[in-house]
Formats: sequence, structure tokens, C-alpha cells
Amino acid sequence: MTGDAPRRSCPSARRWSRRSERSRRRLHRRALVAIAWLAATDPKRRRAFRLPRFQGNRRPRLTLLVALAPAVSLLWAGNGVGLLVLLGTNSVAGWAMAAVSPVRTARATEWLGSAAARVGNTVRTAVEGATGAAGRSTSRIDALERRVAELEAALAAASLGDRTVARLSDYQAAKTQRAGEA
Amino acid sequence: MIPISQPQMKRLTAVHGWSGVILGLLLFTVVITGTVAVFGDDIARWSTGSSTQRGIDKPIDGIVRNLAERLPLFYLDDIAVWKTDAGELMAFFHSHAENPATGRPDEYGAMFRIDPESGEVLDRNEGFMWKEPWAWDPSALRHFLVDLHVQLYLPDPWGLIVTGILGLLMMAAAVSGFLMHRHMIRDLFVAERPGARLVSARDRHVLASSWSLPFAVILAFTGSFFSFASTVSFPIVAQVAFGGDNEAMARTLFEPPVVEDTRRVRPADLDAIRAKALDKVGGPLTFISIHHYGRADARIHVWHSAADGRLGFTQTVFDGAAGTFLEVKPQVGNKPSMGNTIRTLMWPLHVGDFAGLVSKAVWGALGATTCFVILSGLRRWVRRREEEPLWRGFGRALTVTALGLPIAMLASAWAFFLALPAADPFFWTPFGFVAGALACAGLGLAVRDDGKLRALFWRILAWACLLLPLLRLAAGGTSWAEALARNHGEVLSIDLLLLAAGGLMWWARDRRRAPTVVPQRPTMEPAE
Repeated sequence: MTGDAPRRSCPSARRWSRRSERSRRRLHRRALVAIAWLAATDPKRRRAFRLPRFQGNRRPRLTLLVALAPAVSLLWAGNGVGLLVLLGTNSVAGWAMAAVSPVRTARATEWLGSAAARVGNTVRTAVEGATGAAGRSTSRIDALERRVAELEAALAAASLGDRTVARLSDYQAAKTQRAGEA
Repeated sequence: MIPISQPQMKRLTAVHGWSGVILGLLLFTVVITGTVAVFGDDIARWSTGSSTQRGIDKPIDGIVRNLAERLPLFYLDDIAVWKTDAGELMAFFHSHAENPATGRPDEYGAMFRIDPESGEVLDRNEGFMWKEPWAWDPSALRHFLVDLHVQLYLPDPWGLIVTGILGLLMMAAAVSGFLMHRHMIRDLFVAERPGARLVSARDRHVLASSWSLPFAVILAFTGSFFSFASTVSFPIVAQVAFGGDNEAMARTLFEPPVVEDTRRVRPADLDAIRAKALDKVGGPLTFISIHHYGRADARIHVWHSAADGRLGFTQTVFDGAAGTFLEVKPQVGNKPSMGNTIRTLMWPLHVGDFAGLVSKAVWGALGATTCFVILSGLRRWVRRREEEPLWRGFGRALTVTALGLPIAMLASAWAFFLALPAADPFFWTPFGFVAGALACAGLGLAVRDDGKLRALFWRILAWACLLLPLLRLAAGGTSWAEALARNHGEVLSIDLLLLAAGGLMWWARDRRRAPTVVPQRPTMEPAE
């Protein structure tokens, strides 16, 4: 582990090493997710911030196992460098995740969600503009608006009582006819 | 959970709290400078405008041979060869003589600064050169920051003794904190509760300290080990096991035994040895030391820095006359041992320099967490006693230290770049730090309102960070275009980091609130 012995490597060993490195990275990501899960569902944390008790199955032991799996894998492989980096990263990341209060986490999630939606809309508009799909999109919006108007009319008819039942029947008939045409 | 009686808990609380209060500010100084010193090599490359790796990767045999032929035999007793962060080759031909300044044996010789491409000697200095950092360290800024961390800029050996004691104090605080905290696992995810109450201060301290506890112990132990190694441990070992004979101790612990043979022979080809060393162990070669150059009993030690999955330094030894590989030498003793393995792990565990920038970033973050633990613990202590004027004053000193130290470190960087074109940066860099620290202390005395003081400090920090890259450029530093063209990653990345940090501080300056004003009749809160 300390490197006193000379190191040799052959192509197959290097390939194996690359594969195991990828799998270790995957395990590491899962460990971080496990820590985040433990933080989000922790009973004392939720109690301290007056959040409702977590209703699902928390599975703390299994989650802990997932969080510790990369460390065990690195220890098994005799990878001291990876183990130290992993333990250090998890310590800092664990603290960072636990230190952010659930209120701030919710706010950040909301902000991230709306930012992602904004970015998505912008990208979609740009793509539609570039591919000429804007016309198709406009016609779809028009169709949706017409449908909303119809539904509103139906709702108004229902609230007006018997006098408008006939009108509603007309609407149903028209709808059936449209479906037949389609 | 370890069962502890109430009197024991009281004693532990006293040890934990008072040890922190008495030396906590000094400990914070050591830890924050250590956090910066983790990136010492990167700071050196940024301040010198290069991104040269320190590995010896160019032919050196011709250079060393030419210089050795022109020097008296006295200078060929020991030769050290390495590359600086500015990319220049250094060669120190020396022997041992009594240093009149200290009255102790020291390394005296001729030090050459060489262009590794052409082999041209750029500079030559003679004397007890390890005491003259301007001759071999291209960055006065890195030198100062590391020195401040290692020995608080105090004279030798007192600085090392103080930092060693601070390491022990940190361990005592970590262990007593661990024993005191009965619900560590249960509180592992409890964030700071809202309302700026006493329990919020507790949450903040407990959360950070729980997550960083193992590393705090490791950093404290290894730091103490390095501080006490040369000042306490080795003198005791020399006295007890070798009857006070330091040379005998050094031979047993660090030098493999060699049968003396003073015959003059043609020295082995250093480039061939360099190639063999790379083949045997790999990794960048950072330091080559040659004993008795040109003699039949010459030995060449090659130092390989941590790389390719190796955690620590590795040392290979070659016959200096025949050029044959002899052994991979343990750092302590002449045979592999548990003590050597532990000793080898000490350095990477303390500095985090074993997996490039990734491990350095992790270690830097752990250092920042430890800073947060110290400050939050001290704040909590002050918070519980803030009705008393003495502790309010301590709280103010805490604010001045917590924000003044980063300002003073930035002031040292400003002084370094201002002095670079025309003056001695090795004098002005520490001067800048002292000036910055005194200015912060003065502001602490002049501005009475704590909130205003904090806001002012944050503004100063923001501007100091934002303007530092401009000052570097104005002082003739490597431009961004040049850095991009020559692949000087450190220059660009540290400039961008400073700009980002300055921008963030400026954005956050008004969002920070001063701690609650001392109430005339404080409301009662649960202690835990």
C-alpha cells in the first residue's frame, strides 16, 4: 500500500483496473445518495424541523451498507489512495448535506426545478425554431385552447341547470361525431 | 455511548472548553494556514507564473559532471539535485561545517540555479544555503505561508514546539468532545435549528465536529509528530539509544551502512540511474542525493513522489560508481518494518498530497471543516457567557481573528506581488501579513458595532480577492492568454477562484447578520 514494492502491469490488468475503477465510481455515487437518503429521512432531523414523520420504509441498515460498500471494496482491493480520498470526500459531503436545513433543501430543489424547466423551455423553443416545428407547436396549442373553451362551456352549462342540458347534449353529440370522424 | 458520571462530564467539559479558549485562536491560525499550505505547490506555481511539475525529467548527468569537475573535492561530499516550481534545475554541492550563527554543524557549499534545457548556470551562491531561501525557493509567498503553518514564524525550535503543543491540544479537544457527546450517531444529521438560539450554536458545532472527527485526530496526530520529531523525539532517541551521538543515530535510522572506500572512480551515469529508477518504481523523481560523488563508495538516493497508487514517498538506492540498483530503502531503518510503514503514511495523511489535485481538494475541505469546528466551538462558548464584558471582548477578538487572518494572508500576497518587480519579496511578504493583521486589529478597536465590523471585513476580503489577479498581472505576471497557450493551469484556475470567491463574498456581504445583541435580561434556554 505504501509503494515499497516495484509495480508492474499488463494490458489485461489495466483493463480490469479501468473496469473496477468505473464500478468503484458508481459505488461512490451510490454511497453519496445513501448518505443523502439517510439525512432526508432521519427521524431526529425531521422532528427538529417540525416535519411529518417519514412514512415509507427507511431501511437504515441497508442504506448504511450501501454507504460503506465502496470503502469495503477499496480496502479489499488494497487501494489506500482511493480509500483515503473516499473517506475524506464522504466526510465533507456528509457534513455539507446534513448542514443544509430541510427548508433550504426544499427551496434549493424548487429553484433547481424551476431553473431546469426554464432551461428546458428555452432549449425546446430554440430547437423548434431551428427545426421548423414552431408551426406544429402553435397548432397544438390552438387545439388545446379550443378544448379548454369547450370544457369551460360544459362546466358553465352544468352550473346553469336544466335549461342548458340541451346545449350540453349538443356538445356531447358534437364530441361523439368528432371522435367518429377521427 | 461510553458511560460517564456527572463529575467526569464536568471535568471533560472543562478540559474541552478551557483548552479551546486558551489556545483556540492560535490553533485556528495553524489550521487555516495549514489549509492554505495544502495548496502550497499550486500557490508557488501561480505566483511564479508557471505550471511546471517538479519531477526531474530532463538529462542531468552532463550538467552535474561539468559542475563537479570545476569544484574542489570538499564540495563533492554531498550533492542534492532537484527542480523548482519555476522549472529551474537546482544543484547544491556541499559538505558539513560548523555554522557560526548557530554553533552547530550545517551544510555548507555552492548552490547553482541552472536552465534545464541548455544547462546554462543562471546563478551561483555559496554559504550555508538552506538558511537562504531566496536562493532556492522561487515563491516567497509559499515559503511564508508554509513557515507560518509549520512554526508560526517563531524562531527555531520554539515555533515547532508551539505547533506541536497545539496539535496535542487539538487531539485532546477531539477526544474529550467524542467522550462528551453522548448521541453522536443520533445527531449525525441534525442541521442547525432555526432561531439563532443557543441550541442552534450547539447543533452547528456538533454536526461539523462529528463528521470531521476522525480526520481531526489524524491531522492533529501527524502534525504533532512532525513538530516534535526534530525538536523532542529524535534528541530523546539520540540521548537514550545512542548516548547523545546524533551521527550514529542518523546512520542507523536513515543511512544504509557502506564500507568506506576513498578511491577516485568515474561516477555512474545519472541519466541511466534516472531511467532505472523510473523503471523500478515509477512516478516523478523529485530529488536526487549523491553521497561521495566520484568515490568508489558513492551512493545515490532517488526520491519518487507519491503517484500511481503509492501513498507516500519512495526512495531507491543505487551504487554511485557502478550505477547498479541496490534497494528500495525504507524511510526509517534499513529493513521494511511496521514503524517504517507508519512513518511513510504520516506525510501523505498530513498534507493530502498523494492523488494530485483531488486529494489536495479533499484535504483542503477537511481543513476548512476543522476551522469551522474551532470557530463554532468558540462562538458557542462566548454565546453562553455573553452577559460578561470579558467574554464579549473575547467574542470580538474571535471576529477579528476569524476574518482578520484571511485578510492578513491576502495582504501578504499583495505585498509579495508589489515587491516582486523591484524589492525583496522574502522581506515584504511577511511584512504585508503583519501590516494586514495590525490593520484588522486596529479596525477591531475602532469600529464598535460588531455587525458593521463584520460587514467591513467581508468587504475588504471581497475586494482583496477581486483585485489580486489584477495586481498579479500589473506586476508582470503571466497573462491569461500566455497561460492558456503554455498550459499553465494553476495561473488561470487560481485567478478564477479568487475572482469567484471575491464575487461570492461581495454578494453575501449584506446577507450576513451580526449575532444577536446582548439582552439586558437574557431569556432562559436549555443548555443542550
